[in-house]
Amino acid sequence: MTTGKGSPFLEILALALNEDYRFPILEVFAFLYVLGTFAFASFSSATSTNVTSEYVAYTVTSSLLGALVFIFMILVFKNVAYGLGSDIEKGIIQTYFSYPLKRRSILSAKLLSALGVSLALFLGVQISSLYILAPDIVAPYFGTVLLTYAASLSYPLLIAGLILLVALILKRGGLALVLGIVFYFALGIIQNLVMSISLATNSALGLQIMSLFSPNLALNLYYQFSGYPPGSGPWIPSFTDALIYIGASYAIVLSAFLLGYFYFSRRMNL
Amino acid sequence: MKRWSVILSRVGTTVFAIGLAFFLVSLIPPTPTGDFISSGYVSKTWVTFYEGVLTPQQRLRSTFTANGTVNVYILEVTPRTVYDWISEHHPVPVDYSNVTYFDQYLDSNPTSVAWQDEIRNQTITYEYTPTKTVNITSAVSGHGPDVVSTNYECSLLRSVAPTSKVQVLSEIAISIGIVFTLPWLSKLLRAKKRREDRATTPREESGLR
Repeated sequence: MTTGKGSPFLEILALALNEDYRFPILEVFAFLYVLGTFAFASFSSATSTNVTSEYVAYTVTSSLLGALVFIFMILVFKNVAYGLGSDIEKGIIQTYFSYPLKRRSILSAKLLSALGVSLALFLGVQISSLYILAPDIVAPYFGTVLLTYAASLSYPLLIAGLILLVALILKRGGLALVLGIVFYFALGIIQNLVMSISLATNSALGLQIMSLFSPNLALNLYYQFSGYPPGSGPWIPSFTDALIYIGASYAIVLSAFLLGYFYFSRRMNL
Repeated sequence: MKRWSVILSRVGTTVFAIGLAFFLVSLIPPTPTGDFISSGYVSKTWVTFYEGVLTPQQRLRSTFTANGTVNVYILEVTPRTVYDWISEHHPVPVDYSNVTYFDQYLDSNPTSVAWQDEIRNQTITYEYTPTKTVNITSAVSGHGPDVVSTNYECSLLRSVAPTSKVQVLSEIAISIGIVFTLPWLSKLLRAKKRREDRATTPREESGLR
């Protein structure tokens, strides 16, 4: 892509887009998202009786997210950990500093390309494919579908924030990539362990702490057990509780990114 | 190459890739997941053979065989809905299997009929693909006084996606993708030709010398 005259922010965004999405990365991921949506969609709850339509919308949307979120994370790891980390490691980021832009704007342009475009592609392709597959679920319960995505994507975005910090601190692309993958799986393992312990000890605290990092847990418990009498499980959150946990988890995600911005703008020596 | 042209071409190649994914999905053949066989007799009555819930990833292949004239239906409701409607509109207890009441229900609720046909001493096969999650009932009604024997066979097929819908979308997406990518491809080809011309011209000149 040739660079022409334009605002410095757009110049850096164009350079980042060109670097992050070299042909055929964008095409391969769009292809995988479409294929994955159809391959992983499960309507088993739709054929069950005594379930609410919101629960069906939640389970159908959730069924798509497991493997496809990992595919999304591969793109995020590549762009944030490897891409940004390598730019710092090789000194390419220093050329961006020659532009009349503040450091935070440079990072914004890089993140808009690395995360924003990935997220837009992921959500756009997936929700459209889901609509093709089940318009009767997506159209009337669009709010539930979006809430499920919001709850499920908080954890991957937290990992993205953490690997941004790691990439900035270590200034090593490869190492940040490895640590990102370790974070992703380690938090997943911890979540399963905490869930098992909480169920065994009938304690809500572990589930509540995990819901701060992965609010999909709270939303899942709400949809799974709503209507059950109190005491049916260690913790049955209300809908408001689930919303509060989603909000709190995004506050944590935001803090991770703000730390990254602060470090990049003030502390990072290049 | 201008930036907008590159952006447009990348949008085109992405839409083309999405179209290819749709096309691939439409090629995956459906898998049989269950069979059902039943039979019944109708004479100024109606009977149901199969009822269940179908999702957009399922299809119902039904085969009706009759030794007389009957009407066959795929309804997007449960038999319970039809019985409830009849009892609501006829406060006095009635014979729910009477074809008159069934016809009244169909006249009042034409949207609940997904497919219908008339068969005369023959076999007919129909494959029903729902566009949403729906309750399904296969039914047969006979209006004549003669007793007509009807056999019904159906198999449930699981497909990855509603094939016809995905096929149309793949055609649209691939066409749009090609249209968006063409200017970029033509520029790329022209640039390649120019490079080749530049590479051959000096050699020809030196050969002349």
